[in-house]
Amino acid sequence: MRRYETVFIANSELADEERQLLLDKLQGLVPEAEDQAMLVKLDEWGNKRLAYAVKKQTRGYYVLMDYCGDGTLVKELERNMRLDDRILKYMTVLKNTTVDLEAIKAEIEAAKAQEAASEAAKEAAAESAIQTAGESATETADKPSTETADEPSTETAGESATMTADEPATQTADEPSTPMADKAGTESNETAEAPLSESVAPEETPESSDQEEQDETTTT
Amino acid sequence: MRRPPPKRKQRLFRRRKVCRFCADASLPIDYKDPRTLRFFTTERGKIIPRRVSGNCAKHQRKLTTAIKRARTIALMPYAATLSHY
Repeated sequence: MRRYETVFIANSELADEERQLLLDKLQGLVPEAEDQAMLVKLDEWGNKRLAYAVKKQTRGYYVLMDYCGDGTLVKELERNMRLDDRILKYMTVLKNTTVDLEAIKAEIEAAKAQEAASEAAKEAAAESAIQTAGESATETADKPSTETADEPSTETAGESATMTADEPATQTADEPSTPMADKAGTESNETAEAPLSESVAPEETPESSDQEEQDETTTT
Repeated sequence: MRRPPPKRKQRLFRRRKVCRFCADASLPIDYKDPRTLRFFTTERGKIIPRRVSGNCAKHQRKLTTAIKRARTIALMPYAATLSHY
């Protein structure tokens, strides 16, 4: 088995239910049997502006599919995407030629745990915000820990959240999730400003950011 | 983008450019992150050459594939138009 990543752009004008149908259909194409294929992640990026018009559309709904399988599965998925009018464009990238099923399962679990932890942290934050108004601190520590019962060490909700949040980051270090990448992007933009503006003509760097803004406004 | 013909003085005092991705190993090169990649293209969408950006060969290669992938899936333009004229 190999690990693939397919990004496809669905028509942005689709209603939510229609899009869900489409996603279900594509997910259904991935076989259930674990020794043949496995869907690791289905990540919806949402509506984005396209860098250029595709099928006369300037916006699109991006979805990322991360899965393991072999060539026949990719062929089948791409065939379906090609035939489907609701999909504007797709691209499949080979990520890894070998697959360690156990590691991937752990990764999925970690991603789930992270999601749960972030939710729990949010809830805990909301709860503590309410409860610091008058009630005892022991209650705030108890309540979220029951919600995140699947985690081993839950002394306080805050601690468990940070712990689980750390683990997936190290495991998926080679393929960061998009929000992480976005963060890194903003950081690099700041740090990268200085050297580039020296080497490129000075008027170019400020203008490129200008142009980006203008692009956004001229879409309509 | 052409640089002016190298003068002696310029060559003597030019700062040594360091590959940004080597300097900061945590910086990922990913086609899904066009905001980072955009930094290595001109406003027209061309990939900035290594001699200008100062990247090392290895990272420039990765960057190039990433930019080309991003172009394929419409995250980055093949040729951007200049809207302000």
